[in-house]
Amino acid sequence: MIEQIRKELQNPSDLFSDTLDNGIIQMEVCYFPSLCDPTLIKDGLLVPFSYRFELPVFNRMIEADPCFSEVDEPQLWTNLLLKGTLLFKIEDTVYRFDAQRKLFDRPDEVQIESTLQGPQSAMTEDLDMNVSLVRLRYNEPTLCVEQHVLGEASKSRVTLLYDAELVNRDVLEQINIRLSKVKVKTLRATGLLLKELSGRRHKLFPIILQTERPDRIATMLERGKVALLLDGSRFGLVLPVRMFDFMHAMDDDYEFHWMSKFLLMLRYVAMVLTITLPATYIAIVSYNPEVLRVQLTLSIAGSRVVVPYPSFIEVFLMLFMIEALIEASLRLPRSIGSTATTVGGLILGQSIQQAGLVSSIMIIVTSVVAISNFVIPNNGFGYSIRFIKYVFVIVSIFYGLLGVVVTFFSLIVYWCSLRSFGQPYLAVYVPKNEAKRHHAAAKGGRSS
Amino acid sequence: MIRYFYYHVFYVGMINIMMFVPTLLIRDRFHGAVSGMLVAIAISSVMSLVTMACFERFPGLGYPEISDLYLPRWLTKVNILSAALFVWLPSGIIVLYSYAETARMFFYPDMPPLVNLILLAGAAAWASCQSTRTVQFIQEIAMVLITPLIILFLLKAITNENMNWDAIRYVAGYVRIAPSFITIAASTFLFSGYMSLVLFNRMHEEGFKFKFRWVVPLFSSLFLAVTFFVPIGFHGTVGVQEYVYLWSMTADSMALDYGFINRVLYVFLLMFTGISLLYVMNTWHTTIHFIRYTLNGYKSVEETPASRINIWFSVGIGAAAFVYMYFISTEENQRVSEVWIITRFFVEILTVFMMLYFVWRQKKSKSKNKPRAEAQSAAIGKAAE
Repeated sequence: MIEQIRKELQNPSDLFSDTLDNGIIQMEVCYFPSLCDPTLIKDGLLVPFSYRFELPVFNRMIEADPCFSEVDEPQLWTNLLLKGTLLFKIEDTVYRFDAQRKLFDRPDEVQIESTLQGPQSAMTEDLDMNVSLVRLRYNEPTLCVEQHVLGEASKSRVTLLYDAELVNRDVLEQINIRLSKVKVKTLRATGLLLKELSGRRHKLFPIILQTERPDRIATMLERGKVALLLDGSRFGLVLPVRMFDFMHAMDDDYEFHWMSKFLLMLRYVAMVLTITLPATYIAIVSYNPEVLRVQLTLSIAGSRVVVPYPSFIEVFLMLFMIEALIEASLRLPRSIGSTATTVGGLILGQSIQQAGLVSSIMIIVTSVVAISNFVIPNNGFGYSIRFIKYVFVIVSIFYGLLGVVVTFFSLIVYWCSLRSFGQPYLAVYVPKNEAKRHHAAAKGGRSS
Repeated sequence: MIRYFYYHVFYVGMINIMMFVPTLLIRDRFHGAVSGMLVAIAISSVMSLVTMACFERFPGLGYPEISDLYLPRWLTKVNILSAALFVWLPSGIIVLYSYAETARMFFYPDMPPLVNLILLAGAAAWASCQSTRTVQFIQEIAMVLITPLIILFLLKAITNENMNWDAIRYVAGYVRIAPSFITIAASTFLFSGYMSLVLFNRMHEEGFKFKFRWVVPLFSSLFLAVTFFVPIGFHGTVGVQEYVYLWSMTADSMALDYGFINRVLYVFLLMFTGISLLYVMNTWHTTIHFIRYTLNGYKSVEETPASRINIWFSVGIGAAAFVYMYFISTEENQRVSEVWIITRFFVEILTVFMMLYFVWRQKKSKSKNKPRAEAQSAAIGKAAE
């Protein structure tokens, strides 16, 4: 066995293989020490093998313990070893012993979607841990857990979770079709899986929700959605989703009703502001100053007196600054991050206005845009919003205020035309099986 | 999902301003407009309720499919195609033109009109090439966003202290003059939101019923009263005839005391951007789907992303809007809209009678013998497939 494995794996130096002898019987062992848990091997295999060894007792243990099983097919050996399984051979029979090293034995702390009073545990990079975290919160016998293996080189395990009674069968069917079409070499992160499953490449908005919170996955499962977990990633995917799901923070479920509704409204207002404010500034300054009341128009014009160029250059200048600042503070180590924000935000903001390069109103606009963007609870959706505001800016350069309004209408058209696995992306209330009927119509069934 | 139907009624009730209906009504205010409006309310209430009742009997079928069941194919095709090209298409173009002109006049008078049209026609064409289901969702979201503005605007208008109620009472006193035909035709336009059923009935499910159907006559009558009387209240019985952009001027007569915006005119224009685009989207969408039906009998309500053929049609329609704007002036547009309003009035009556005929045929074949009725319903099912 050992020779064959060594040959197949091109004699790796990190593979441990040996023939153990306890005086009664010989056993060939081979495993990757880096992938296996040494205490587990010691307690589970080496101790029974060495102390008070009796063959019938040992055989009984191998039969009875689910961690052991026989491996008849030699072509599976290398794969099993690479997954962190130990192989041993006694009396011409090869057995496996699952002794994977668990890197994570406790839930992670939430880092991105933090809440004040909700659960603080997040998913880990270990799939089995994550499944147990979800099962803990959604303890229903109807919860289905399906295993898939994706990625030609990485052979990553992907788990599909759904409630068999609540799930929309159409959605499930579409996911299975798309999962079977996934063609990637290595599946490193859920983001890659998200792109592969979304279908069209050039989507402006995510149609799958990425989350690190097991409680969010549990609530979504309860609503009949499907969750995907990937081994090695501390994020889960939830689908199908609607636009409203991206604006929902878990705190909304945990705080009292009216306050959370108010905060939800606030988030939508912030989203509209961050999308339209720079474009509106251009429109007001360069095209339609008469729209605002006179005093306001005068103070805007007054603050722009020293600025030598048209408003859209000002806007691009400031938006570039703020985007660069966000990008820089994202990658910097935490200790330097605060310096960057102070220099970039406070000092630069103050002096750029005093130098007369941009107006003070524009500084306010930039800050409102940045802060409002951070109000959006979902990171992926926030990115899309950050991008879409440039479309508005460009249209407003040519069309002013009307351009902003018409582009907003077009944005609604775009949102409404998106489908997340056949379900509408933006629609106020749609009965659960409404989509099904129309799908039937599209495929040639009854159109009613 | 019957609520989607009422959105059609609402925005068509408001879009009359872009169709020059107020101008037509005001022109005849001493010559039978008030009585004409009353007659129109009666006619339209009957027509809308009858049409709704007729469509209730054909769940999931649009007008083309129903017509195919009882009329020869060529006749249906001619019918549908001419309805698409001579009723639905021009209505969108007329509204787009008049809104583009209004917006240009108040937002940026220096800009060439056609440049302005690129933006509006582009947005409307893109919206109209989406699937029927998407179009419905867009309508709902847009209406939810616009409704607060409408309420604000109506409250502003009705509670305004500059509104002269005596002028309104004075004009209303001309109710005894015999109605003029053009005011009847023009006023019935406010009710014709129910005509969207010819396409959107495809979205309705087996056994659907219109709840709250009294909303249609009630709200349309309300909009009719507002559209006619509010300008008179602001500008007086005689001064009201002086304006080309009558309603924009009426909106400009009001002021917002608080907030960033001072003139209600801008609230009004923003609101009508949405409503006009909605109206144009729906009419062009109906046009596209009617043409597609005559070409290959296509009748699905769901396709994402929008298919190539839809995009080409909508581009063609957008180009038609350009050609129209290039050759037709604003005054001519007003005359075209007058012709269109009268044509539409007769087409609507024709449609109602045809629907009644179809229902009669359906009843007859059902009562004659049971097996044939089953074959009939199977045929309906087949047509729906």
